[in-house]
Amino acid sequence: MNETSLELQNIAKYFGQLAALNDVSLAVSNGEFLTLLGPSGCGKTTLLRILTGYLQPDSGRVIVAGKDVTETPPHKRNMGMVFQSFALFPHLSVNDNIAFPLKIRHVPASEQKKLVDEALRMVHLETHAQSFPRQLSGGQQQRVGLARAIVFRPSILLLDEPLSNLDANLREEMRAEINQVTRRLGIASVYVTHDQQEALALSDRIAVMNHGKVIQVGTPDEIYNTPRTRFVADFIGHSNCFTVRVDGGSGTIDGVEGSLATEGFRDLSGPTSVFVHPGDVQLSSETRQGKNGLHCTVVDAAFLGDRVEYVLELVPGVRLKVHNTGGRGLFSPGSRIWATFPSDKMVVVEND
Amino acid sequence: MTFGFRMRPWRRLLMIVSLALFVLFIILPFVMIFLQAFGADWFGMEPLPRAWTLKWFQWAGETVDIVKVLINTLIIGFLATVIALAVSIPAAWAIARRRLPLKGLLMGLILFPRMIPEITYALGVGRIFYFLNLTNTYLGVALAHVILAAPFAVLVLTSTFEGIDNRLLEAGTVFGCNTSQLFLRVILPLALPGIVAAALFSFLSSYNDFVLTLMLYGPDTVTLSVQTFLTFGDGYTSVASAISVILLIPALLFLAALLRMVKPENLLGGLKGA
Repeated sequence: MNETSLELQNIAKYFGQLAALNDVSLAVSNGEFLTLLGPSGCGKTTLLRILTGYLQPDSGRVIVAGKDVTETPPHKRNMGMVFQSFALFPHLSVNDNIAFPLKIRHVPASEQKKLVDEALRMVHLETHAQSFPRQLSGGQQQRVGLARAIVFRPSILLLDEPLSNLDANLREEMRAEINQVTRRLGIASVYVTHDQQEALALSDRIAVMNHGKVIQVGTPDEIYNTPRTRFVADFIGHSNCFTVRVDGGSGTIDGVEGSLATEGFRDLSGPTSVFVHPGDVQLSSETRQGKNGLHCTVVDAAFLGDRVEYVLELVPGVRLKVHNTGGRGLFSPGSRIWATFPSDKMVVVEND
Repeated sequence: MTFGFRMRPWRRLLMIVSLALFVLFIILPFVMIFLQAFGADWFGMEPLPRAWTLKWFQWAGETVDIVKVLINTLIIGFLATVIALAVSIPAAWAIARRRLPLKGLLMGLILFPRMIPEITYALGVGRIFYFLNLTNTYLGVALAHVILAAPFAVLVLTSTFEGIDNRLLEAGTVFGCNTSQLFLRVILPLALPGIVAAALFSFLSSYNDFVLTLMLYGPDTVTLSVQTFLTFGDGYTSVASAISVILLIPALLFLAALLRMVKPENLLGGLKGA
C-alpha cells in the first residue's frame, strides 16, 4: 500500500528567464490522493504537463512505479487523465469513449465489454452507454471523463481542475463521485486545483505551490491548522495573519494595548507573522490586562444565525476576521473590545 | 414617418417577381438543354418542340463512344480527387496546426491558379505537360485538375482542421495513441465532414472542367465536357445537348449528396461537427 507510485525529483522548468518550476520534489504512494494547490501561474499546470509528458523538464526526473519515465512520450506513460474541458470525443458514444483507451491497447473485445460496463456502473451511467457526449449534461460528461480515465487501470490518475467547468450545485456531487471512485480503486491520484475547499475535501495530502515552488506539503489538517508560511495561511482561505514584534517571548504591536505569548515565540525576536483561525479568537468587552489579549475596534459585524462574523481592526490597515459561535450578544461596529488569542491556537508563520 | 416591418403589397410583389426572375435565370439554360435534347427538330423558333424524341441520345451513342467518354471522365475525376486529397490534407494540416513562416504567402500561392484566367494557366500547363509526355494520359489530365481542386480543398480542410479542439488530441495521446492511431481514430473522424466536402469539390472541379482538359486531352482522354464541345463544333446541337444532359446527371447527384451532408452556408467556413 505504501509503495511509492510516483516520484518527482528536483524538477525544474524554465520558460525563457522565468522559472515556472524550481526544484520541485514530491512523492505519491500507492492509493494516495495528492492535490497540487495554488493560484494560477504557480506552476501546477506546468507540473501536470511534465507528468503527462507534454513538456520536458529542464532538469529533474519523473519516476513511475520505480521506472524513470522522464524521456517516455505521453502515449506510453499509461496515465489516466480527467480534463477540465471534459475532452470527450464527440464522434464516439459514451460506451466508445470509455472503451477508447482499451481499444488503443488492443484489449480483447469481451474483456473490453466487461471493463467498460464496470466503469459505467461505477459512475452510474449504465443507462447512457449509447448516448453521445453532446446529449449529456456537464456533470454526466465529466463522469464519462472519469470512467474513461480509470477504465484501463492506469498507473496514475491525473485530474486537471475537473470540477471548474461544472455548475456550483454539481460540483459537490462530482467531488463525492471522484472521492468514491479513487478510494475504491486505490489508485494513486494527482489532482490539480486552485480551490482550497476541493483540496481539503478530497486529499490525503496537499502540496501548496506558489511561484514554481512547493511551499508546504501536508495533510489537509496540517495545511489548514498549521500553515507554515503566510502565503499558505492566506491561500487556504483566511487572511488572518498579522505581524507582532517579539521580545523576550512576548509579542506586541505598536499602538495596540495588550500583548501575546505562545510557545512559538520562545526563540524569536523581532517582527514575526502570526496566524490564527477566525473561530479561535474570543471576544469580550471587559477591560482585561491578562495575557494574550489585544485591544481592537469592531469594523463590521454580520449576524448569520449560527454565528456572528466580525471584522476587527488592530491598527489602521491590519484587520482580522473572527467568527463568534458561542455566546450571545452583538458588538456593534465602532465599539472597542478585547480579543483573546489562546496561546495554543496561535501559529507562527514564515513570511514569503 | 416610420417604416413598418410589414411589407407593402407592391414591395412584396416586386420581391416575388425578382426572385422568380433569378430562379428563371438559373433554370432557363437547363430547360433549353432539355428541350434541345428531347425535342424532335426543334430549332428554338417555337416556344416548345412539336414532338419529343430520344433519337439524339441514340445518335450520341452511335457517333460517340459515350461509355468510353463517361469512363474517362470518372477515372480522371477519381484520380484527381485522390491526388487532391493526398496533397491538400497534409498541406491544410500544416497551415492550420503549425506555425508556418510565410503562411499568408503560401496560402496566396495555393489560391493563385484560381485567381487568374484558366486559359492563361492552361497554356502554361499544356506546354509543360507536353514536354513531360503527360498529355493524353489519365494522370496528366487528373494532375491538371488537381491544380483547380486543391485550392478549394485546402481552404475547406484548413478551416476544418483549425476547428479541431487541441485538447481532444491531447486526450487521444494520453490515452495511448501514437501518431498514426491519433490520425486514424481521432483526427480523421473529427475532420470527416470537411474531408467529404473537399472530396466532392475536387471531383466536381475535375468533372466540370473544360479549359484545362481541352489543352491536354487526346483521343484516349476525351471527357464529357470536351465531347460536348466537339459534338457542338461538328454542328450537332441536339446531340451536344443530349450529351450535356448525361453530363448533368452525376453533377446533380453529387449536389444532392453534398447538400445532405453539409450545410451550404458552411461550405467555406467551419463545417458542422460530428
